[in-house]
Amino acid sequence: MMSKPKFSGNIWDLFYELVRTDFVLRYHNSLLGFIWVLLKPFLIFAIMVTVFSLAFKIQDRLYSLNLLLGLLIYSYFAEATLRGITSLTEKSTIILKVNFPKAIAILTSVVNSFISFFFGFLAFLGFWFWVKPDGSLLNLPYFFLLVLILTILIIGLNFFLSIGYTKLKDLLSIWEVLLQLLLYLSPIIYPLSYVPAKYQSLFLLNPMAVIITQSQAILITGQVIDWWLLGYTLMLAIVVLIVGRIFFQGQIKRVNDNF
Amino acid sequence: MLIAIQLDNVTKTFQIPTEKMDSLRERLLNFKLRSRKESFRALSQINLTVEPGEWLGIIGPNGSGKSTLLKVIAGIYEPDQGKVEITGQLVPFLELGVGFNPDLSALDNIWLNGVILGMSRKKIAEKLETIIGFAGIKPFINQKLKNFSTGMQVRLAFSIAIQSAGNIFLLDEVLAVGDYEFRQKSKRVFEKMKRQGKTVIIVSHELDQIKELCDRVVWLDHGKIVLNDKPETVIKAYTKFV
Repeated sequence: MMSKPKFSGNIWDLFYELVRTDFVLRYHNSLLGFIWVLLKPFLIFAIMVTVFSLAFKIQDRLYSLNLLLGLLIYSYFAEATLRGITSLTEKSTIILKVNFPKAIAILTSVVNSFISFFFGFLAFLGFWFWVKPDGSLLNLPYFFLLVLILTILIIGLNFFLSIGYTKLKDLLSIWEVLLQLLLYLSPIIYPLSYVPAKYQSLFLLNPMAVIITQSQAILITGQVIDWWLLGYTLMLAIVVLIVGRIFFQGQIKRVNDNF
Repeated sequence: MLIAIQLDNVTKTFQIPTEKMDSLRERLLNFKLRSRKESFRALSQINLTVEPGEWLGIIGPNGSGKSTLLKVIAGIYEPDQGKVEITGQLVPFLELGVGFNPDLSALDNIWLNGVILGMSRKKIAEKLETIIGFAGIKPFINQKLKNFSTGMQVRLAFSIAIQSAGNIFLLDEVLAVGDYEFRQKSKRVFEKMKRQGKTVIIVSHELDQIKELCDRVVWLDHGKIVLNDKPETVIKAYTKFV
């Protein structure tokens, strides 16, 4: 049987080793190593809480917990897309020498950000038990669904971003600015109620705003989930993933000519 | 007749911008010139058939398309015309130590390079002792690769590469590696590959080695096949021409 030349190995073994390599390299020269995964969200959280609850004297008992959860979700998105954007270019030395299943590079970039997010979430749970908010941990499965939607969105975006970056190196700087904008356009450091009522629905077109407010609603403030918003975000994420994947497949054949 | 590799009318062209514009500033400044690209035909209408168990050498001056040809066969570059088909599993050694990272230990690099070359983790676990032994680096296995000499890195890379299972091997200038002792070892490996009936394509400038190992030689120039015949004939014509 004759066929086109393709990667002959085991894709999941390759995936496993790439993730492991990323993980090892990330902490290989640091004193505290993996502890940074936990320490970083704590420290950033401490700064944010100090600035906003003390300096601006915000009175809400749940403010700091809402802030922490919002920051965690945002950081996952920011880190995973920033890693995703360079993921193909970083692996160009491999891609140019081996017929490598390139979508694996995209997935790898998300996994290590997810690991950081997961440990950050464990730290969040510690605070949760301390503050004892009105939300219930019985809602955790819904929260995981929200995280899944976010992950689908990230992978979809990374299909576009990684290809775009091989053509135009400015994309990284542009994306960094857009991420800053997203930070302030999402209800992270301020609650959604600060947004004038007539703009709120417009505001919730931003999937990041939906995922953050819904997570806060079920885990912290004890409100019910808005299935319409959830459905909208899920549809959006799936569309981005599918279109991204098609775009990626179309472009990837010639990506080696860009390096 | 069985065929291991078949190239049918393969053409590969690269679009090279006259000035490489991969930043926005350059794009904006050169907006009107955006379409100014030169196309470079690296391979044109290559027809080539390799039988199973055959060893094919590819020679030619720098820039003649030898490496592009291997990359098209390996599926790294998509040809713009024609098609490439192979039978069986292909192992590309276009460079030794693909994916090697200087900040990882030698052991971690074996795992990484192994899976990139298409080995399963199970297979690597089985072959680990053999790889370390062949490379002769047992005492240094947990040291970072950046502390290895270039020669040692190449030996490690070669030792991993020869363990990968496949029946078609593409070798790009990887013959002349290591010290005398290691060269003798690799020579025995090549002899074994030959006995096992592996199909091999070698790109090299070492004509003596090509003559010794190959059953047939292709002389490539400006992306075209000049001559495709027995090693003695092609090498004689090539040396005369140069």
